[in-house]
Amino acid sequence: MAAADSTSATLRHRDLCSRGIRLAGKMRSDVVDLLDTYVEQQGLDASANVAAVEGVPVAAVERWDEQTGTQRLLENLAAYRAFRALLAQMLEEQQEQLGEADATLGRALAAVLLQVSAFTYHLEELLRLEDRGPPGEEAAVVPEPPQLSLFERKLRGLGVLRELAQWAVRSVRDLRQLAKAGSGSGTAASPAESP
Amino acid sequence: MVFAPPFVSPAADPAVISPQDPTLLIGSSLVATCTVSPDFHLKAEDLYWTLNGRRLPAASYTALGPTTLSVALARLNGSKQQSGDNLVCHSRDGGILAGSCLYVGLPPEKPVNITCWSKNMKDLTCKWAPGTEGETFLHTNYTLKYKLRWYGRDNTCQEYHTAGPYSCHIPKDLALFTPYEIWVEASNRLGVAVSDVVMLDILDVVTTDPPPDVHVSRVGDLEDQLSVRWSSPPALKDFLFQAKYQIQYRVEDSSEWKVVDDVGNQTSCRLAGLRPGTVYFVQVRCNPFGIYGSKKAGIWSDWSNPTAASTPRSERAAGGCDPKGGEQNTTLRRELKQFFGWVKKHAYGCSNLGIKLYDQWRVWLQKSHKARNQ
Repeated sequence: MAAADSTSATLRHRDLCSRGIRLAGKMRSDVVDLLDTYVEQQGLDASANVAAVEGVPVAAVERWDEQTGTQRLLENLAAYRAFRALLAQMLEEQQEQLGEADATLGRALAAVLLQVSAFTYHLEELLRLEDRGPPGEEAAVVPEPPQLSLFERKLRGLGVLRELAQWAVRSVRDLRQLAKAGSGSGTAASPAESP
Repeated sequence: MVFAPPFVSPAADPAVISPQDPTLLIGSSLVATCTVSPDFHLKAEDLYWTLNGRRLPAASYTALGPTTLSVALARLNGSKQQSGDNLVCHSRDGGILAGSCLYVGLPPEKPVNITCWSKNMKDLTCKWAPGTEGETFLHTNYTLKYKLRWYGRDNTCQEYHTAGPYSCHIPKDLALFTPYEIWVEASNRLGVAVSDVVMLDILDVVTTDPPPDVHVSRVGDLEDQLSVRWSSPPALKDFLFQAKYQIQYRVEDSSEWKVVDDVGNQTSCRLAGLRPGTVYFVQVRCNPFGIYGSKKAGIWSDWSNPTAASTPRSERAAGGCDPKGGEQNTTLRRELKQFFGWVKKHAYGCSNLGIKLYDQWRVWLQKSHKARNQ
């Protein structure tokens, strides 16, 4: 009986990982398209050098191959919860400033926000398969941004989307490692890949 | 790269641009200044400006102090994007020190051509056109307002873009038998413009769903005809109204519709002069008018979904016979002679002489051909 439960959990884990990989791959491609639209509509230079933005989780990570499965899931979850809040804020600002007239950008932003929410839920499901479950939402509350000028908002949006695109790549790699490591709980993945 | 955006820590702004996010009329001029924070050890000569990513010529710069550089912009064009032009102050290495969005445009024009329609008298949708200048370079917000004439209070329409970019839908709570006053307010960063007020009674602008149950069928073996039947729109069955209908049809491989607009208030019609052995698409629409005695012309509904049917194959065509023009004429003359002879025998007076009679004759002719062949 216990063996059957364990097999079913392993299958569920594998299924969640492979679906998560597909979701993150699609998200990456949509965010790249969204970035193009965003840069064009905001009149920004796609190569503009934007430094780290407060509240935006950074995808870059050291010693990625030493992370445990749980650690990967928790870092991903914290990041996507933050992106969910940041994208919702961007969408609100966008509608406030340009109304529904700029429908293309608004629709694309809303679509990516939906994908981020779905992926967040996916990560929570994966964590439920671990012993500890997902942490409470209050830990992921994004601080109120300071009053920004309109140009600063534009740059912050660029920073958010760029970092989200990087995160989507990292998440694909993270989930691949998790899938390889079986249930993934508490074990470090093989150091064969790096993000 | 020196850039540290102000939102990381407002206290550590590398530079400040003045004015911040200004709104200007097309053709106006602007002098903007970029003042670098002393903490960043940059001088005015280390700075340059870009507008929408394009470097502005140094001839337009003036050093107003050791750490302040101004730029003069003359005869500004309308904003390149509605989110504002990006005027950016850079350090020598290209880093962004500060930015300001410029909103350059025109105040809105008075919206024009307001037209409204009510689907089944339950709702109201209105469309309008922006003022004649059209593009104002700035995001312009449109608000449709309405009130009952004489004693109403102002209401604001909530559902925009339901029938195109300049449209709004009022889904419910509309009164009948009292006219409405309707107008549109356009506003942007440079001002507000209000359209003329349109007065309308819901009963005068009614349209309906397309006619349901459209059936297209063959007329016996007649290879050039199809019969079309439909029902009147059910949503209006409880109201006193008249309806007129239109039919349009086309062959499968053409996009050109042929319209039959003399259908009147009948709910069936026969299409004649069609090509034998051909698939036809048929659509019907309805115009309800005279609701509760309204004197206004109704508004056509959308066309029903296309219904397809084929005419029977011509027996001659099926046999591979393709008569030349002269032969066709001879056949036609012979048939006409035969037809008039038949009319003399079977029709009494001229009152019934019409296409139906001609059809009856052809059915009779086909029957007699068949009988002969058996």
